[in-house]
Amino acid sequence: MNKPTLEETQFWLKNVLIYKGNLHEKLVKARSQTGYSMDDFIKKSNSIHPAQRLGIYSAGYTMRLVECMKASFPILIDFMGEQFFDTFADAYISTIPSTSWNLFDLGAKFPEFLEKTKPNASKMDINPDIIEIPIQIAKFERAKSEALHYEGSEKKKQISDPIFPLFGIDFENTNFQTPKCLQLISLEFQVHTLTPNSKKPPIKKKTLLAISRHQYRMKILELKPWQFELLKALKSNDSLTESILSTSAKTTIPETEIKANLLTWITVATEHGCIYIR
Amino acid sequence: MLKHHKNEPRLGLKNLGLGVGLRSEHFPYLMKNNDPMVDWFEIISENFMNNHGYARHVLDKLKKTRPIVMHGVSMNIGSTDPLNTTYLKALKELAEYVQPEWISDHLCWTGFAGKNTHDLLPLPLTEESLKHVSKRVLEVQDYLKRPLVLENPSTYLEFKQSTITEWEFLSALVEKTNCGLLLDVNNVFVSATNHGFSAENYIQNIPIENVVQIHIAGPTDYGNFLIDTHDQPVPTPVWKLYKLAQELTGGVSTLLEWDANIPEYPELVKELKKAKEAVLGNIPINKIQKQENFSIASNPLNFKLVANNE
Repeated sequence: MNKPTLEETQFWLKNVLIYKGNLHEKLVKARSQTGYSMDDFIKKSNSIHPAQRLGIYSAGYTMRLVECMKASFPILIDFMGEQFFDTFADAYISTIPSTSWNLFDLGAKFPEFLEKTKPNASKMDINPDIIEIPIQIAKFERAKSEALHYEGSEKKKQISDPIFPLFGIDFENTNFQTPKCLQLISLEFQVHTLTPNSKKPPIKKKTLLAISRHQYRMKILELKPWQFELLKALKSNDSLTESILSTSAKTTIPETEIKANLLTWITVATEHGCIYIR
Repeated sequence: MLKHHKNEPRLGLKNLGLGVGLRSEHFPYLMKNNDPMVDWFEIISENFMNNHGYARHVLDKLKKTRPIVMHGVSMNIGSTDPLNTTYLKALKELAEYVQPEWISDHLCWTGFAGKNTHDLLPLPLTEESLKHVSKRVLEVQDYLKRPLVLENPSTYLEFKQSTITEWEFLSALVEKTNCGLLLDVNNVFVSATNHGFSAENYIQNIPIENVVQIHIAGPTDYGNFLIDTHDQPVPTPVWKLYKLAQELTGGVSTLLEWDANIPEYPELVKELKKAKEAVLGNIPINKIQKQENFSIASNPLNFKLVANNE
């Protein structure tokens, strides 16, 4: 066989690292894909066996990325235990290898992965909540990461005037915006109330949350349906008037009532990093 | 090839003194105290690219009073994949904001066929890879409009196809591209131990006039190999290599890398300041930390997203 080229070398080593299984299984699969074996690549020495050298990279690949994910899902680890988390994270990394240069993107699809791979509770004769709660926690924790990462309103003009609500809002001419870091999520369980070492599972209750930042501090706000719909509308268009119209249509709450509610809610929304004036 | 700095030692880049890596664990200290007690900071570029959270706010404060260097881990300079233009654009945007003294990355590859291993993988050191890497370094330097500085990585395997030593490869790369070198003496020590070559000979045979920075760090001994864990104080053999490198260069910027089991900020600075004594010949006495169970290599990308209230 000819000496492998640089491209063939990288193809082989990448596959050995990323394939599922132990090192032997990875090498067998890599050989079937490339025709090359470890002996074609790894220089021998007396001190360390080539398999051990390769094992440093192979084992390190998953270990490193699982460690990165642990930093992003502490509540989930606390709830399901480290061993279970490692198993799921390992499966995720093996199934969906990273394609981004940014490790921030590593856990982005983890909640979706848990959702798509969840077992059928009825066939297993277990409480379906046990399967659903970790998915909800993952979704919540990912949303928190995104709220910390994206641009907030810290460098934007804030609604600071305390008499603003008393004199009313100029709905036509005031340009309300939502910051990029604002995350709106709908949960089936109140996972945001979980604390470290929580002995009790979260209450099963549909919950709408805004997760954002104010002065770089994480803010989590429970929302009523009209607040959720209004913020959702504002995320996709600049016009407060249109957002109120769309919210009214979705919630059947009259526009005038939404406007009146907004007057009393706007300070809270601002202090939780949900809205700012452009 | 970038024409400027061709005849200037160290590409005209100055000795910044003693610096540390900017880590989220130290944000509370750095935001409370006006004196960071170091001369400069190194940021991991990827941790700040497209990141508009609290970390950028901390960086805003620090860059007003201290020089910043951008050190990347995902440029993938050695890969046969095309250069990632999205990555380079984001890197350049960050550089426009940070105004770094220089931009560095590693002589390695991290991904292939669009998959990223997030590891610094070794290259076979051949004429083919030299030609390939040189071409890409020139392209990156043209795009960034500045020299690229490349670090020697720790390696745990060597390829049978290699026909050039790593120090010869670096010398040829510098000859072809006039890139800068980030000499990581800990990595030289780790690789030398793992592959059985002389670390002193390595340092004595790289193009020393292109070395712009030195990294020091603490590895871990797993019995028959060392791993570049960056989670320990700098051991005596690495301090000795550091002294040698500073003697040969006449003095360049020093950066203490510590990526896991990170000590409190004042302790980190105390470790860094030992560099001054090491240069004077007062080599700190410190053993290499031993472990039995294999752990992962350093992971500077494990940059915890923090809020101001953590």
